[in-house]
Amino acid sequence: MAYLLPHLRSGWAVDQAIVNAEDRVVVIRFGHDADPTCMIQDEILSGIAETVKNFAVIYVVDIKEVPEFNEMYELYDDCTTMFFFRNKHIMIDLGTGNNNKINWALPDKQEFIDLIEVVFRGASKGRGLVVSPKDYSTKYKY
Amino acid sequence: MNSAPTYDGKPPVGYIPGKGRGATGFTTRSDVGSAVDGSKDGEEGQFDGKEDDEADKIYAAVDERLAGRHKKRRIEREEKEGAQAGAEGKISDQFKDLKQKLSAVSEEEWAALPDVGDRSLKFKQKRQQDVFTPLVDTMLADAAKRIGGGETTTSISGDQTSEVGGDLTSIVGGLASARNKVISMTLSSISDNVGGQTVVDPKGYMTQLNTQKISSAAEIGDIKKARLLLKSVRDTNPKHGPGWIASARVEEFANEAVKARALIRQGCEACPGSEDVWLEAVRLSGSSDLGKSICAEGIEKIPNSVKLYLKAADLEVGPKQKKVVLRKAIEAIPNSVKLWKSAIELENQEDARVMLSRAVECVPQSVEMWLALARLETYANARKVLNSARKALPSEVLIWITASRLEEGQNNDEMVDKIIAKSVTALGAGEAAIVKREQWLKEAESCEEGGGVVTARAIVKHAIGLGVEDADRLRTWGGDADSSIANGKVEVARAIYLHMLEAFKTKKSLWLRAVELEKKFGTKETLEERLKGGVGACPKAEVLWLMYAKEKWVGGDVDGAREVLTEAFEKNPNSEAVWLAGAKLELENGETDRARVLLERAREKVNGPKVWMKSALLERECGKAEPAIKLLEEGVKRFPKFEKFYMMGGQIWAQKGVAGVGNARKWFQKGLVASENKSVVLWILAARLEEGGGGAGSSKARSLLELGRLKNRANEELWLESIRLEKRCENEAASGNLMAQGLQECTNSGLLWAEVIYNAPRVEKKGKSMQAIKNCNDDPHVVISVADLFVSERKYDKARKWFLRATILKPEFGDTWVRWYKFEKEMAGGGGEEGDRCKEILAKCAVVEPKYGELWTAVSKDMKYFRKGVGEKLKICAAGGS
Repeated sequence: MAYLLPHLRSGWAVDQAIVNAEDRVVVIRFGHDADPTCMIQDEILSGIAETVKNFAVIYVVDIKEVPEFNEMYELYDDCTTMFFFRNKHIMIDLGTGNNNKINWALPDKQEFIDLIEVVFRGASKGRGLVVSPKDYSTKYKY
Repeated sequence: MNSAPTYDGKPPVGYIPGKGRGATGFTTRSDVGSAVDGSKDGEEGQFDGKEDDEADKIYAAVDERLAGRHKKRRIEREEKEGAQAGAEGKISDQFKDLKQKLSAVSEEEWAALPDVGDRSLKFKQKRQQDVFTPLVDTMLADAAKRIGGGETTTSISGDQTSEVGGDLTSIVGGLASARNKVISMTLSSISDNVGGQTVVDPKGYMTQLNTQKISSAAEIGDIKKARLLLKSVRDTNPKHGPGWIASARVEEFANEAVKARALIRQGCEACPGSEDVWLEAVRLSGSSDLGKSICAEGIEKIPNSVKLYLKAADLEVGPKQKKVVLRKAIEAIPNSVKLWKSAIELENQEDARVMLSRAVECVPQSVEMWLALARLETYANARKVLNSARKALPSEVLIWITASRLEEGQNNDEMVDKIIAKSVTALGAGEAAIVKREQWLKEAESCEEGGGVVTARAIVKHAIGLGVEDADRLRTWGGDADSSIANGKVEVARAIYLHMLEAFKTKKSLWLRAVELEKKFGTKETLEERLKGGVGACPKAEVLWLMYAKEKWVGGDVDGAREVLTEAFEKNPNSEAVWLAGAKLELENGETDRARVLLERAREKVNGPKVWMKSALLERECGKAEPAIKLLEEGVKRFPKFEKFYMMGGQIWAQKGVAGVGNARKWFQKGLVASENKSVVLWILAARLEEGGGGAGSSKARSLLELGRLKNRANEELWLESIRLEKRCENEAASGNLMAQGLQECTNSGLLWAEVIYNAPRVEKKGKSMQAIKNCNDDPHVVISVADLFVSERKYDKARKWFLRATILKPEFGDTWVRWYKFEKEMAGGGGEEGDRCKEILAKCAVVEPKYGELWTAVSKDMKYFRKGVGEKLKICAAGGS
């Protein structure tokens, strides 16, 4: 369902998207449109994009098309989702040990909405790290 | 849906995504590679191109230039530092040799190195919490009972006893029983001593154990110190008895009875002459047998010790043995009063008499013995005894008085007088009097207390004049009488008054005082006697005559009263009071004709305004208006200033109804002119006349009152009447207005304040009361209003207090009594305690005979209730008035 989500086709475009969203959380899914994990994630993201549009904007980025961030953000997984607010990378304590990003497909709409909301609330108060409402340490196994 | 912009524009030249917006990456997984590009520095990487190079060049040039400055000096310094470091070496180099030795340390030696251990304060404090404190037995026993349900199964055999007590952790529930066992074993071992002789009685031992207390460390220390101190006292001065006693007491205090006994025995040996030591030894001996033997020993050493003998007698159980001991003691010490007394106390009456007769021979200086003997003897013998006592003790007043009491008992009043006269001359005469006047009077009072009235009188008669100057007599004796009355010694006071009256026969005030005393304490006969004496001695004293007559009359003896008054007329023909009293007497007894005649004669002889008024009053009461008015007109001619004529005249006319209004008005007008408008009562009467039926109406009354107020400034009664007039006309606004004005003019008028409180709405009453009390605290009107307020609030106790206060403030103010009585009666309902209160109020009120008060006078002056008593009037008043 990636075709329902806006794509960012260059490094510049990614940067501009992050910088220009002033009052909304920027959610970016790094991966491939055709990747199965990404497809699961995109299904969810496209479903909630309209619901969260007041406080979040969702993009997808093809890491082959835009490889500039691969090293910087360690984009080695099939599907990686990251959150930004006012040009600041917002970290989430998901209980997995990696607070920087979600590097699996989160297959629940409500959970994702909750997560975005927590990020928005925390970030708008100036926090750099927010705590996820749900603990994913057991859900996701490396 | 796809609403977000995608930013398809071109980036600037040399833009590196991510870093271009200032982002930095992160490294979480070093195995997959670093997020930060190691080849390029952050700043260098942001832009690439010529600008960068140029800047690099400029910075390099600046660095080079800076390095060139002070080059010489820097080189010198560096060289110097290098040399120094070479000489001393680095710190790590200095310990090189020691470090090298560490290689020789074996594995075991390393392991054997001791731990430093935690010596911090925190650790210590934690340790302190773990300190265990031994618990009290009772707590442990309690806990055990709770756990084990009070069941104890420990049994301790004889050989285990030594361990008991020390071992707290043994089963606690058994401790108490174990202790009991130990004690019982000890006791049985003691009581089954060789020879069957019990050294310690088991009961005593048990009680001793019960009283045993666990001494604190400080106490034990004190005892040790005391022992040491007292030991040194004993050593330095072994003949000093108190040292031994103190030592024994310390041991006793420390529960060392045996030691104490041993010490005091030593003391007895060391100082056999000290009575106290022996007594202490007896006390400490504990058992009576031992005590007796110690006593015997002591008496051997000190044969004349009264105390030891008494103690010995004390130790004996039966009265027989006691008597034996005391007889022996008296043989040894025949002149001890104490011994005699305790010996005689044990005897029966007959033996006591015998012993006393012996005792007075041995101890003639003891008054008590003499008196006791005299009391036990027959009359004839007692006289002898007292005579010899007087010879032995000539200066003892008690013997004289007892002798006279003895005579009094035989009704020999003459002898009493003689004896007292003799004793006063013997003891109280002259400057060197053995017994002073005050003492004599005190003796008299005690005589009266003991029932010896005649003796008391005799003492007063003979001793009252001792050492009193003639000029001081009245004052001194008056004071004596007052103090006697205060002490409740009526007979003595009466005797003093009688003596005084003999000396000052014509003193009216003295007679009055004596009469008052009789009225309070005496009988009717004594009172009449006194009054008779009084009128005989001072026939000009109207008061005495009137009192006398009243007493007679109150006693129901009307003829007697008449006689008294006739006598009074003879002695005081010009006394208005006596004439009026006579008239009153006749009138009250229904003899109007006699009263009329009396008053006629009085008018001729005395001719005072009061006589005229009473005459008119008499006619009026008989319902004869015409003669009354005639009399009043006569009276007015003679005494034009006497207001009451006008009042009465007006009232008589006003009673006749509409027809008399004009004449009544004339009378009031005349009265007002005569009194120069100063008579408040006349103003009020005039106003009421106008207001009533047949008058000119309330407007005329109003103007009259206003005029009255103008003529009499700041008169509360006129103000009150004005206010009430408006009230009666239902003119609330005007009455409120007048009230305010009145209060301004007479700020401290209780009458007006009471009216204010009465008329105030319920919520304001309290506030008004406060204001009133502030302005006139002591006014009975206000006090009563406050009391009423309390009644309405159901604070009855408070109300009672305020009523009481009002009656104390002004007892003659009748309204207080009326309201109080009404209140109590309402409270009482059927009777009970409040009924008693009602009676009490009636009685009190009858005593004070109130005179004033609006409610009170309305009844008390009413002709209808003319002959009722005060109590009756009060009842009527409470029932009728509000």
